[in-house]
Amino acid sequence: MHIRLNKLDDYRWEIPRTGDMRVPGLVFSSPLLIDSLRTDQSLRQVADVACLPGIVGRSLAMPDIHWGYGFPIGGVAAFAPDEGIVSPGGVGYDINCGCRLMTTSVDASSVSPRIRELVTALFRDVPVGVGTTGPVHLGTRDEAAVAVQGAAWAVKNGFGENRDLEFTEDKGVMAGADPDALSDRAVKRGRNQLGTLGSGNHFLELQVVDKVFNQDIAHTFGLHEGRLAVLIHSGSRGFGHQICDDFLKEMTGRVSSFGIQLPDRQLACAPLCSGLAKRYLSAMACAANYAWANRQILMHLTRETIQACLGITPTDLGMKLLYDVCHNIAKMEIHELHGRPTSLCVHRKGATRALPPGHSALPPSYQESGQPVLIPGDMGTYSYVLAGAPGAMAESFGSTCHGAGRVLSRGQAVKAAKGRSIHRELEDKGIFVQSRGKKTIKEEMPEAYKDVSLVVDAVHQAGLAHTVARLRPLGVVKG
Amino acid sequence: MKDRGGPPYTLINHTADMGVRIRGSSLKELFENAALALTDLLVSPGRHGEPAPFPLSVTGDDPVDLLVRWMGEVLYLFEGEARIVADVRIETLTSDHIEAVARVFPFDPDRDEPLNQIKAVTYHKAGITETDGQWEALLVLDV
Repeated sequence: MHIRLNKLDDYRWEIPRTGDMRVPGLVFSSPLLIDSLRTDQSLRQVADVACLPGIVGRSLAMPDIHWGYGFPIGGVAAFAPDEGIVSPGGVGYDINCGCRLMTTSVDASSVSPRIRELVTALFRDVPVGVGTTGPVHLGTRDEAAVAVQGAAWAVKNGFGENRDLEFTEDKGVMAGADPDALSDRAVKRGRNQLGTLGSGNHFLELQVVDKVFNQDIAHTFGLHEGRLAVLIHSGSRGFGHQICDDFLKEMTGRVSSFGIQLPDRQLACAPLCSGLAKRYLSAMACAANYAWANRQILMHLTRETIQACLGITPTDLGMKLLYDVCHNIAKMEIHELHGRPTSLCVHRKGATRALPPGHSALPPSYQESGQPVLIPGDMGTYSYVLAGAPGAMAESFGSTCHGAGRVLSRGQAVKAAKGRSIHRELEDKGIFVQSRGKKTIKEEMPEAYKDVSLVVDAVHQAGLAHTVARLRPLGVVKG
Repeated sequence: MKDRGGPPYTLINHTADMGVRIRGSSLKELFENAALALTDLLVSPGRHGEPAPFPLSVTGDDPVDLLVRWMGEVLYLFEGEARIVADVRIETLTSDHIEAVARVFPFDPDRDEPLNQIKAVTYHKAGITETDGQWEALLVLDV
């Protein structure tokens, strides 16, 4: 079925309400990006989400939107607590998959000659790839504590500093986590995967702050041109995958008993007021907390490895957490609806929270700047740091994009890489990569992604977040 | 299409995830091939001894739900129990239930090469069709 798009301005396209859609769709994009959406099914998915009960405002898509399962990736939707739903597929299997950016005091040019050595050390010391286990093997009580305490558990157990919690979204802990809501399978899968990076699009990247666009905010964030930074992308591992799977299957079986008709079975959901939704949210919070603990441990392993490899002290390295944001989550948040503050369940599926200056959920030091928004690109170009802007609260339930967004399937990417050495091509650009999987580098090659600069420009121009700085990769560890 | 004696399946383009089309000459063979196709995507096994029998029992609401859950069970065996399903024989198949015996190896990271991190078998686009006695299933895997 053809999805009609009405251009509202150069950065907004509306999908008018038709059929079973309860609200219109709104796609943030740009004239240079919009045409690529017509070739996959992501716009259909925006329309499908608009059919879900209790959706308010509009079914939203960020400029990095691409075809996912159920929700599009880059999709944002908010639901009223009385008539609305929560959908595990609208959060995704990798619950609280997210990014964490650390700044350092180290001049990147001083470590550039040793990037190969650093990447090799990180590849050795940070567990990556399919089937790896982490440095922490959790007993049942500790796993429950991780699920409830999140990043604070990691800090309490020696993986980082209290300061890190202040600079993590929601201080690295989601309230309402209840380990009793977890299946035996989820508990089992969570036991040995804490402190592991994973594979696919997860990565650990050494970067240099390449260009600053907003000196004041960059200074607040600790971003200075020429300095070394580290970006980590990982999530809740098999623990989160299992929780999503468990509840999706339960909701698939019960959705008709709630009187809900679905355009796509993967959108299975439960009314927010139901016991099933409450149990899911309690289990989802466990996974969100597990993911924050995971990234906290990964940061600690990274810090120790870099210090040991370069033979420098923690003071010399000066590694500080700039911020940690999640991409896949459903949260009860207060947003203005019809002129009144209203509690809504905001689903972000491959999207980032982007709070404007002055928001009460921000740490004191970011009150004037707005929330740091971390947008990784592909491993051959750039990543960006933005700051949340008032437009996000007005138009996108405080959300913006989460990355560049894929344009090639993995199979297409492998085909495009045939006869080429992507490793060599990246090395020629001064980027050293190590990966566990044989196909990973091909599947994740730069051409597989949209031009992140165009995506970032679209959210900047739309007023959802403002560009602060650009970072360039020097070394990449992949699963 | 797999051409090295493995289960008959084809990967189809999906921007973020992995689409897979599986075939079989009967519904039972389709389900057996689906399990083996998933293993083929998950891991390249090294040399092992005799696989051990492992009973599987899966219930679903309808054939498509059953197929998603059935493949989910094979995925869980690998991800949660570190077992590789090397072969499977379905003993009973109805529209909402399977009884089967899989033959499994323990996953050995020194011998077996993981290929793709598959997070889940999704319901998105999931379907089963039959044309002139040939069965085909379409599934999207979250990777």
